[in-house]
Formats: sequence, structure tokens, C-alpha cells
Amino acid sequence: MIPNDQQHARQPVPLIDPARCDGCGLCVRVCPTGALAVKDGLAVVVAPEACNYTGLCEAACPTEAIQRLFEVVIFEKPGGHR
Amino acid sequence: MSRANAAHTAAQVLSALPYFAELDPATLKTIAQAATRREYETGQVVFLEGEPCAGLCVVQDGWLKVVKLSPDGREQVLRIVSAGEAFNEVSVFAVAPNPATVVALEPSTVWIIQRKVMLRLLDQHPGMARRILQNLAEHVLHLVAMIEDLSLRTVEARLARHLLEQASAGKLRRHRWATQAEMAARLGTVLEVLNRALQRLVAEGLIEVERHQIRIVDREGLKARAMLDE
Repeated sequence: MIPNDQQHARQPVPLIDPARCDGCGLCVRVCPTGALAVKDGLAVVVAPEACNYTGLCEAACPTEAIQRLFEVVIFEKPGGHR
Repeated sequence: MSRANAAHTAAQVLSALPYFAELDPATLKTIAQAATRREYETGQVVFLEGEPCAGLCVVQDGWLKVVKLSPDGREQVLRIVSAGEAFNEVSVFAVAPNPATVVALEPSTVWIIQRKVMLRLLDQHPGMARRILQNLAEHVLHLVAMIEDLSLRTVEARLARHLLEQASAGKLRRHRWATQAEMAARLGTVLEVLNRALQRLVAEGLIEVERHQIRIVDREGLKARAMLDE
């Protein structure tokens, strides 16, 4: 389930575990940008460029098949501490 | 991999482990020949809590988590182990079943050394015994700190410290992606509580969540938040 780092960093999208997905389609219904679809009984990200990472799919998934991955970075703005 | 190659690889992996740093090549070779190599896929269970002792495990490559699981499926991550580290010492030296469950977080290769081999080495190599004692004492300190965290610190404080540990000077110590569920398991909480804690840190202006990045925008403020005891 863990993606190649560089590949994921370019276009991060929620990951879908096919072993857990039961194809119920709830994620498709809640996705506000139409990034997901059910194909052959499994949810897939069909429009990665449309995904805005809201997490609604992750929250809606009853089998915890969809998960978003995060990285933690220091991102202090120029000019010192706020 | 041929038996000779396997033993050679095992010897290389084991020699990098501080436990075995003082052992002579012949002894190391003997241990390597008795070690068993195992490969695990992402998500695969290495062993379960309560099972008979699997032996001392040494990670050649990969990343694994040591967890306690509750009957309703909640998990608490006790530690994360990576290449060059050993785990399951407690089971080996306490002569007890495995005290926790170990799961591979990514494809991992592990060498397993039987308990009887380790016990014999302890008798013969006091330097090694001292290193193992020191390591076990460090584990105790880590677990004491964890108890303090879980019982005395708020989830926000735990989260603040975890985020600071994950990022260092703008560069990740290890470029590793984590789900919020995994973060919750490390902090001894559940996803909903973790989400609320993240939102509070965002509202306090300490972090920002931008797509796939959790950005620390006020490191000093986050450090102060991590020290808050309530």
C-alpha cells in the first residue's frame, strides 16, 4: 500500500486497497470532483488531476479501504517565527 | 540464494548490529549459519502476540511496527524497527511468549536467531551481554516515556511531539508517508480524536494541512505545545 515516494509526491491521490474495497461506491458518491469511479467492482482513481485530497472518500469508506498518505515537513515562512 | 551466500549475507547483517560488534568472525559465521532468513510483504504479520518465542529478529531491510492490539481492533504502536535493528529481545531473554505483534510496513527481510543460540552467546561473551542489557534498559526508558505520554499528556501534546520528530530542519529523516490511522495508532488514540487534534493545531496557527503535507509553520510554538502537561 505504500507507494513509491517520488511517484506519490508528484501526484498524491488517496490509495485504495483492492483487498478491502467491496465496490460499494460510497466514495464515488461523496467525491466532490468526480475523481473516483467503480470499475470491475473496485473503486479506482480515474481522474487523479481532479482529486483535491478532501478526505471525504476516506471518511465515507465503510471498509477503510481508502487512505490518504501525508508527509510532515518544516515549512516556516521567511521572516522567522510567527 | 545458496546456503553459503545466505550465511555470508547473514554475517554482514549481523556484524552491523551493535550486539555483535565484539564477536570474532568465526563466532559470527556460526551464528549466521544458524540464522533463518524470512521475507515479508507489506502488511504481513511476522508473528503474533502470545505465540511461542520466535527468536531474536534482526532486520536486514524494510520497516516494521511492533504493536499491541485490543480485542476491538485498536492498536498501539510500541516501536518502529528498521534495517540494522533487532527486535523481540524481551521474549528471548524473559523466556516468554512474544509480548507484542509485529507487522511489516513495507517489504522486509528479517533474520531470526534461535533463543538457545542467543543464550549460549550470552554465557560466552560478556561484552555482548552488556550491550544487550544496555539496549533493554533503553527500551524500558522508552516505554516509561510512552506511559508518561499516554497517561499525562493530551493528544495535542503527543501529536505536536510526533510531528516534530517526523520532520527535521526542513528535511525528513526518512521520507515516509503515513496515513492518519497510522499516526493515531502511534499516539494511542483513534482517528476521530487525531483529526480533532490536527484541526486544533491548525487553528492555533502551528501547522497547516495542505493536500498531502502536514506543514510545521511555527516550530517553536509546536515545541511549546509538545511540552504542555495537563
